Amino acid sequence: MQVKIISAAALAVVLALPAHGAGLSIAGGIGRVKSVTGTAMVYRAGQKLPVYPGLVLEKGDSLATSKGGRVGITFSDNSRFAAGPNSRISITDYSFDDTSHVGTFTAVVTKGAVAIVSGYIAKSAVDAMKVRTPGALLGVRGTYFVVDVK
Amino acid sequence: MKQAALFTLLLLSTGCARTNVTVFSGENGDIGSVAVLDPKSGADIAILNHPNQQVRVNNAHSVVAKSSSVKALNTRYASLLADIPEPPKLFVLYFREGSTGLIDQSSALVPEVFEEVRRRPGADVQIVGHTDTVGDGTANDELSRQRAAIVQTLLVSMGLKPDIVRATGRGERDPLEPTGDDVASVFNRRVEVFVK
Repeated sequence: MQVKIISAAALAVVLALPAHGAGLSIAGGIGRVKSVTGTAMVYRAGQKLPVYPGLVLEKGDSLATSKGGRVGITFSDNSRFAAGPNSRISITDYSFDDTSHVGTFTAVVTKGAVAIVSGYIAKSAVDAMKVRTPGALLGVRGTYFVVDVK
Repeated sequence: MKQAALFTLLLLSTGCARTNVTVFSGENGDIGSVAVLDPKSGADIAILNHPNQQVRVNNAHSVVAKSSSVKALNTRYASLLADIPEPPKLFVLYFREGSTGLIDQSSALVPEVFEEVRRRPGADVQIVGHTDTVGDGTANDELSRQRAAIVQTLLVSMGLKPDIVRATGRGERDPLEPTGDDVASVFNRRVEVFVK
C-alpha cells in the first residue's frame, strides 16, 4: 500500500516535469547531502545556500557548519563524508567516470573535523583522492579516517 | 565573507594549524591507508595503515605519531563517525535470456527498492547495467547502458522522481561470475540498483 501512495505522489512530480526528463541521466552533481543537524551553509559561486537532505552538491562547493552543525554527504563515487561542528570543507576538484570508475577528488579542510569513508575514486589510482589542510596534504588509499584541523 | 577568506588565506600561508589524522578499521573490518605527502613533491612522508593509528601533522617537516587510547579516540570521534551516511544498499535485478524483461524474482524486488528510497532522507538511486562476455566490449557497453535505461524507465514510470535517478553501464568489466571471453552467463546479465 505504501508503495502505491508514494507512486501517486511521485507520479504527479513526474508529470510536472518536461517530457525529455525521463530516460536520461539527469541526476547531475557530484553528491548529495544525506543528513543535517543544526545550521550549515553551502557557498557556491558567491551565493549562500541553505543545506538540507537531498541538496545536490557541485564541484567547487564550500560547506560551512556552525557551532553544533553537522552534515552527512554521499558522493557519486560512493565516498561518504561526515562534517563536524565549526567546519569548513571545499571540494576543489572532483571528476568521476561512472563507466570506468576512474576519477580525481580533492577536498580542502580549512577548519574543523571530517570523517571520510573513501569510494571508487580512491581505488582508481594511487592518490587520486587527496585531502588538503592548512598544514598537510594527504593521499587517500582506500580507508576510513578522520581529519581534524586544530 | 571577505574576512573569512582572509582568515583562510592566513591559515594556509602560515601553516600554524595542526592536523590530526586518525585511521579506523572499516565497516567490513578492512583497513586501507592514508599517506601524509610532501606538498611539493607528492612523496610519502608517513603512512597510516593500522586501526586507531594517529599522527599530528604540524607541517611537511614535522609529523608526530600520537598514542591516544582507543577509548579516548572513540569518545572524541563517536558522534562524528555516527554521522557518516549509511552505505548504499544494493539490489541486483536479473533478465530473462534474450529479453529485456526482468525475471519474476527480480520484479518482486522492485517494491523493496521503493521502500528503501522512502526510508532514506535525501535518497538518490544509481542504476548500473552489466553484460556477460558474449559480443565485443563496445557493443556490451551499449547493451549495459540499455539495460540500465530500461530499469530506470520502469522505476520512473512506477513513481520514482526522475531527478534522483542516474543510469550508467559498465559493459562486461565487472562480472559477478568471472568467465573467459564469449561466455554466456545468466549471473552477469544483470542490473545493479544502488539506493544511496
